[in-house]
Amino acid sequence: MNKTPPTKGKVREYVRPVPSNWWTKRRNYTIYVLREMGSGLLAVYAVLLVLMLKFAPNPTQFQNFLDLTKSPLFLGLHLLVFLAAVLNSITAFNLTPKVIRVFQGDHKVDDRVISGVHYLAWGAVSVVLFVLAWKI
Amino acid sequence: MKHGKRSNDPLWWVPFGGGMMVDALALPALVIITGFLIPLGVLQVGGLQQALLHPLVRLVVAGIAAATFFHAAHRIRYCLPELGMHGLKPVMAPICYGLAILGSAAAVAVALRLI
Repeated sequence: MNKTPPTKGKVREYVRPVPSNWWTKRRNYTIYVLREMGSGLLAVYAVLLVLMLKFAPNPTQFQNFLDLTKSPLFLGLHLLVFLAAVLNSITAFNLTPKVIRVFQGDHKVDDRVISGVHYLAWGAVSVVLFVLAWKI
Repeated sequence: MKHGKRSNDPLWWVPFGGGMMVDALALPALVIITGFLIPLGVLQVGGLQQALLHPLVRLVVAGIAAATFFHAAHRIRYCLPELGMHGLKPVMAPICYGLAILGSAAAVAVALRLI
């Protein structure tokens, strides 16, 4: 049995009140919250991808879905998704030197090289996807 | 933290970290293609529809969707209670990861044309 340290009378823990809009006070906090909650937009986009898979075998359903994506509502949604995706990409690649440490002999490879390689990979994957979309 | 109770966080961090990188590499280009180039008529949709019938393409797309679900689940799990909804803290993990698991299962089932 754990014994709790003796206290005189009842002691209540002090919880410092934090207003719900704390994240609007500093730019870094705002970017943090936009990135975290923006991932919800990415999940919405993932649902759209699954719907595309679902409708692809049926030309009528696929065309109806395509017509829906032409609406201003969906174009606006995709714009927000794109912004959230780019924010995730930039913050993820800037973070990579903190996660990956590469040594060349005794010399630690520069952070900018680690990030840079990931940005190059981003560019390469994007080019491959655009070429695939163009060719098919 | 109580003695002997281990956090299950590392378990969720693997699909989260993987999902974050998959999304970071692929999503911006994918959104431009399916969200703008095809709806605005810059690219023909016929090719995409044909490609989406190929079993391997279907599994890759389902994999990207599943990675995105786990990525978002982990971020929202921690961020939403910080935005003032502290009462949700105990239920965030089962709700978020539960939805990610269900969504991923649905994505794979759709890819295999089971549903």
